[in-house]
Amino acid sequence: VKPFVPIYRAGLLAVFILVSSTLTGCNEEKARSLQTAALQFRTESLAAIDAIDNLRKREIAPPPRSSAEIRQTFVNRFLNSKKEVSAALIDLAIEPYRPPNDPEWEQFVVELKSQYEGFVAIFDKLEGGTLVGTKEVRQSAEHAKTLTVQMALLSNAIAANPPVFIQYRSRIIVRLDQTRQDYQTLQTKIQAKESGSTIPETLPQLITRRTELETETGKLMDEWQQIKQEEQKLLETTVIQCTKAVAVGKEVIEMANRYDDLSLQQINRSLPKLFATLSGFTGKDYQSIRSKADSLLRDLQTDPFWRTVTQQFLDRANGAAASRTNR
Amino acid sequence: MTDSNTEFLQIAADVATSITTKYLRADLDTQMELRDNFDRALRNYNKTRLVILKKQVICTPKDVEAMQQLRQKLSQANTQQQLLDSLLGFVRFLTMRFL
Repeated sequence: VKPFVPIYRAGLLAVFILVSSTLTGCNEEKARSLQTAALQFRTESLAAIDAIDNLRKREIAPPPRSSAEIRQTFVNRFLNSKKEVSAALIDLAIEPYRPPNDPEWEQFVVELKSQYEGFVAIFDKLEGGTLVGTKEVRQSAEHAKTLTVQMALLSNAIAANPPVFIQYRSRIIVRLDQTRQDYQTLQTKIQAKESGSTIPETLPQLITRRTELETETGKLMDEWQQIKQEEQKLLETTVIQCTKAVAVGKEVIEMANRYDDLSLQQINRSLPKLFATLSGFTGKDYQSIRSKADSLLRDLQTDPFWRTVTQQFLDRANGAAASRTNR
Repeated sequence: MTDSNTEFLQIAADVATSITTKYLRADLDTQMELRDNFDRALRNYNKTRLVILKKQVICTPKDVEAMQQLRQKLSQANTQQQLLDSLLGFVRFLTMRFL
């Protein structure tokens, strides 16, 4: 069961159908304004999908290393190995783990994107004057809403499950662990030296080395904090982009729904206001954007115009979850 | 729904990080022995994250408990065999339960 992906195509079609139906009216300018907003929905949604994909990749990607570091690590690891030399061994000595492609994630992202890319083709068709019947418009309208609901739920799930850069964290942990072991061994040596033990190193040499290890530990702490900051930043960027897509989608679909009752002036007043709101969605005030995202999701769950679609989506997701529950 | 999923995924991320740390700490020959199962472990973690983000799973307290036990077992894994057992336990649990 894939509740996220297949409904997107129908949903995108619906947005354009709603928009295209307006072209039958005399006020083409009004329709074009709404089409502009619909295109913005596509742009923001594609950017949100890219952000989600980037977040996924960063979670298991190895941190970058300098050529010198890669070379030195390879030499140390390879020369101490006793396994038969093979291409696999050499590659592993160069890089302990490089994540392979993940077909399921890639399929998820490609399918999501393809639905939005299809958006352009439908738009071109509209430009050619192809129009769709009212009945089809009505049937497809529910799918159009689902686009926004899906993005809202995805955003909500990402916000609740912040990314963890596993390899970045692990490599710092390994280095901290090694530094701590070296430090404690050194401390023992210093105490022995001070008690008159015969150790090759001089006391000043040992103390200098201890200072180096203390400095190294401080640097590793800085690196750890930097990783945590990058995780938070990536989380915020992704949630903000998803929230932008949700905000535009909701506005476009609600406008399309009230299209016959809206004047050109009303649409032209609403759109700049919407775009101004979007431009204010930056990482400077993440908490307020989280509140905005929560508020949008609440609307989708409670507003009579939205709640049926939202509930249907959640029911589908829960159905998929139930099929996994009793294993 | 979100709370139990979030709690589960936090612990699963801890386990994945711990597995990776132990793998990276191992020498090249040990990594050669472990790499296929290590790869499965991270792949399954990634896939589990996807089904949770898609809200296709509702984690139960039993799931959380199972992952806590895996974390505990892993923290005591000091030999290659113990690490391998923990890796396989992680892979199997995620496969059976979510994938």
